[in-house]
Amino acid sequence: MSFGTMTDEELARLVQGGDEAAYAEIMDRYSGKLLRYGRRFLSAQDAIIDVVQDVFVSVYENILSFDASRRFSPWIYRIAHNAFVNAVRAEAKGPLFGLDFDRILPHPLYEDPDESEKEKEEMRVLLEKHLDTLSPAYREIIDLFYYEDFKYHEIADILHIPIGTVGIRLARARQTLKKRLDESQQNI
Amino acid sequence: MNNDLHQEIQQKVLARINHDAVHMRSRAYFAVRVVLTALLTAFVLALSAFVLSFILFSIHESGEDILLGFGFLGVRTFLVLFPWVPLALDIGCILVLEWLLQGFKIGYRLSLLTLFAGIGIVSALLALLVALTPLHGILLDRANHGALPILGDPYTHIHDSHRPRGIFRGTIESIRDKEITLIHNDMDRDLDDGVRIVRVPQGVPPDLHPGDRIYILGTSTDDTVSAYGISRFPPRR
Repeated sequence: MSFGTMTDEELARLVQGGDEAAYAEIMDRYSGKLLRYGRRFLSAQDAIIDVVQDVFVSVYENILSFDASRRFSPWIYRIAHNAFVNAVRAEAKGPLFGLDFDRILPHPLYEDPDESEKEKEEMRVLLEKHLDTLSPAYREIIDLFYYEDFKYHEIADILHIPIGTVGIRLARARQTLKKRLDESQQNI
Repeated sequence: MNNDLHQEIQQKVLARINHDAVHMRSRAYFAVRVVLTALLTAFVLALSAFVLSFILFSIHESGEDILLGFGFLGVRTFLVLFPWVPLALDIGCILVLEWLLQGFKIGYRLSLLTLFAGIGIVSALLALLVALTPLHGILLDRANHGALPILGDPYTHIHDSHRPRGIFRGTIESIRDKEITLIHNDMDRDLDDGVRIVRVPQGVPPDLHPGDRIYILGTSTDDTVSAYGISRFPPRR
């Protein structure tokens, strides 16, 4: 069985057994994704590359804590999220987002929206133009949902926030984007 | 270009692994970490429950809970005398617990307010269980005998005199019309003990008898106290 046909979880199990070639395959699958994810946090390409390397080192160090019966991608993105947040914090020399008010009060439980692939694609086109205008907290959650295709509960696990907070942030981000779109259309 | 970049990242990471600069942490490491976190969580929860039960014990033992039955002035005095420092310590424990639980799904999947309330409720239930035991009574007795080195101080302050705030505690020697002769004793080993006449304008409650230990909120001049509120001391839990 070649690595190409294996799932991430099967590869992770091989890495846990000491297979470095399997780890090279995992890095091959995730380096592009993590470099793109890093652009939501940092602007300097060199800094993003350094953090992605640190993420892969950290993943290797902690691979035995990964439960291979669960999905691998939310686990690696959790590590990446922490690494990029720390990098931004170090750059800013202070707290990143301050007190997260969305986390204080409980929100209604949001279900994953029933968006078709076509609707998601339309949203991605819209995002290409306006994503950078969103605040970092919204930008990351939009990226995880529309580009990385994570479900609400997986985003909650990556960001360590309640599912209701994921839902409310995505709803607010969509509203903001719609407003920006309306504004840009009025300007044409 | 992109493939070159991916290859470069891979090679650098693999080189670090091959040169033994990076090691996989063992399963035992993660197991120990989980166990230590669980133990720390249990310890902080136990500390929180202990502090909360101490607060319940101290306001009952000092008689300050009686103040709540003395109207606005009683409630105001209760708030002034409330053990705010232990309460702040308890809130600190709950915040530490909240932080510890943030690392687990059970913690981060809940809003901060829900988690705070949940921990507070669990801590309060444990505190009520502790309050049903004679633990604090035993510790108080030890503290009074100077045999409680670290925790002794908060216990010995439970019986502090609050005469300037109009609080008198003691035993009824005799009752006559609207007047009680009180042997004032805060049980705080200080020098304000003695006999006082307590005037009760609203009349002495019929359930009070000589020999009863009572709690009074009032105003005093010399050895006479004019009672605003008066009640029999509840028995120690």
